[in-house]
Amino acid sequence: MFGYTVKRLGQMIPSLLGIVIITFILSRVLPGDPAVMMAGEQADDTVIENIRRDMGLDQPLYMQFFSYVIKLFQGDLGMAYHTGHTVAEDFANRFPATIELTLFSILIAVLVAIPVGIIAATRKESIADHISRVFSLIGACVPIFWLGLMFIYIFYSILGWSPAPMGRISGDLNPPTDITGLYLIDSLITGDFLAFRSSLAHLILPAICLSTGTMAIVARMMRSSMLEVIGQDFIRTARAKGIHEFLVISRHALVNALIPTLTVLGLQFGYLLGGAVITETIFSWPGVGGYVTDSILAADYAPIQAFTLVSALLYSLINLLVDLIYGWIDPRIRYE
Amino acid sequence: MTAELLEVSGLRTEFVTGGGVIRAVDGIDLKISRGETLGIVGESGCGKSITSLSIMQLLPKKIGRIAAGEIRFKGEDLVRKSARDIRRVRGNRMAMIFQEPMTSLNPVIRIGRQVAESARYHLKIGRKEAELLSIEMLRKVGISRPEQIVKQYPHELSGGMRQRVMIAMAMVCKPELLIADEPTTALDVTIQAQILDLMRELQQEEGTAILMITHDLGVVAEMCDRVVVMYAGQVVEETDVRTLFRSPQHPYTQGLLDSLPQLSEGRERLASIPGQVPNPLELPPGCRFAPRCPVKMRQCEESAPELLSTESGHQCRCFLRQMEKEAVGS
Repeated sequence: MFGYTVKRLGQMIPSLLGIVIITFILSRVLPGDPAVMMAGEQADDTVIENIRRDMGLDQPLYMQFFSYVIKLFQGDLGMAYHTGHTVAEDFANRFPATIELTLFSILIAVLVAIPVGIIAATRKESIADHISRVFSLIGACVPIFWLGLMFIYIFYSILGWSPAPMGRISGDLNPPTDITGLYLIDSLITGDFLAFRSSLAHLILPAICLSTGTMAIVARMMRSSMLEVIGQDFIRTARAKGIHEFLVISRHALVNALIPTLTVLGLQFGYLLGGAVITETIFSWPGVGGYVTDSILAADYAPIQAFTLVSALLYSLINLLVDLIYGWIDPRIRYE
Repeated sequence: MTAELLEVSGLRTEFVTGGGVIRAVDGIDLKISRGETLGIVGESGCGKSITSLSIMQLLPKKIGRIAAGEIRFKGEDLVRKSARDIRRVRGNRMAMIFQEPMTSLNPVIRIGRQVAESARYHLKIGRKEAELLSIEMLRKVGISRPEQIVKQYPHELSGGMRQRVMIAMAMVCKPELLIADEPTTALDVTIQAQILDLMRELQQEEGTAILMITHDLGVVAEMCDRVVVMYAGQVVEETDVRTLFRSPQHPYTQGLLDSLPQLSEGRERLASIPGQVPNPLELPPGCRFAPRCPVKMRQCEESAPELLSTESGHQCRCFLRQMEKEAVGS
């Protein structure tokens, strides 16, 4: 198990290196000159030339790449010129917000999708099944930006149920003491009920919005893998024991059906990170997603590269975790 | 209340398919007394497995249904019982083992828990007690080191071991009836004999009645007291096992026996019954075996013969036997 984990971590190095190369090149071919962006359109050429030299942009591309990689190995993610902070500082400020949003979305998606998938499979061809299939089709098709805008329009503008889509907590409240960086958890720990309510109210719409795609896909996967498992011989054996159908499903079918669903959930994590960029921009959520959007618009290379790299790293780690969970729930899988 | 443990009468099981309603079992009568072994023999698709699933009330939901008949277990009709009452019998007083030991065990649950599961459910015993019971059951079915095996998972065991586990699982509540659907078909020949021996031992110990579903006449000869031969959803012959092998009455049974290899006859081509089991959606109008029957008469293609008793308890569905009987009678 330990050896396997080390091996998998080792295998991540070449793919991360590939990502470093690709994002480096892609961000260089983006239109826009960071030096011009910093100096302003009206600045004269010597100023721009000086900035360019300071940023190392006058160097040939391969030199820029090597100095970037060397800094990376020193743990230096570079400078975000459009904020004036280091990327590491900006990430430290903003990543907790993104993590809170993403985790909460996954939680919503799983809590809804898995029961829905089970019910749809066990009551195949029933009305509940048809409704769940229609909704998962819609959920998988609707683009996040449209859904986000509709949510804001309906729940904020028309109904007034939700707070203004700005930030993680009402402006007149202090954020809870920073323990985990997740407002919901921190406010619970400190017993700050007002902060909890407010941050939940701010979180719920973007989280639902971000979760829909995952929810739809996980529900469909759960339904189809459940259907497959229910058709297996060992389910007939379980029924032949005379135990209640609820036990047949919960004890014998569920774990077996969760295995493929878990894979899909792991793969969905990448989609969630991408979706977070859009969701955060729409809801002015102060996470890394909105920050990256700003960086792209400002042609600020370092944060774009850092975000891509960190996302790829997270994605690989999550999928490694998924593989390890497999081994835990399915005894047939053992890692050497 | 009758003396029979299980009494199936006029059982008709149907499947709804895209092509129409298939009558997989068409009017079957069976009787099993306590401690007896009844065999059901027939080719694939003759309805023998469906009969066993009907008795267990385990037909696939929505597609399969019992259209007519009674299944009396200890005098009570299972067909008309609620799902809850059936669960009380199933796995408890009446248990089943299946053909595929490789896929019939849950891959993610430890052997011990699977063996004791129905006992924990029906007999309401605790976790500790259940573990001891599964160890005892595994020992009883001839598994060595049962204390270790209970902690293992199905994929760690061989096919023969798994079938032993299946038997332990079925026998854990000491059922009065054990339905075995091709229990040895998926196993090696040497293992087959061991499993059959084991079943017979347990039967003598516990007094369990066995309904043995098989296509293997060797298994029938080895295990059964009485035999029912099925063809295309119907019983074509029923008698005790000696009579069946000594003087089979139905041409189909005769064909089955002829297709067994005989050591004394040298190595000729094995006899076989020409043709195939009829499509259940297009059954012949007369006798269902007529298209393949070597001694078919005109009458056989026009009307269907009844299942008639010929001599002491020997039943046969064939016009030829009927005519013989009438000839003797007149």
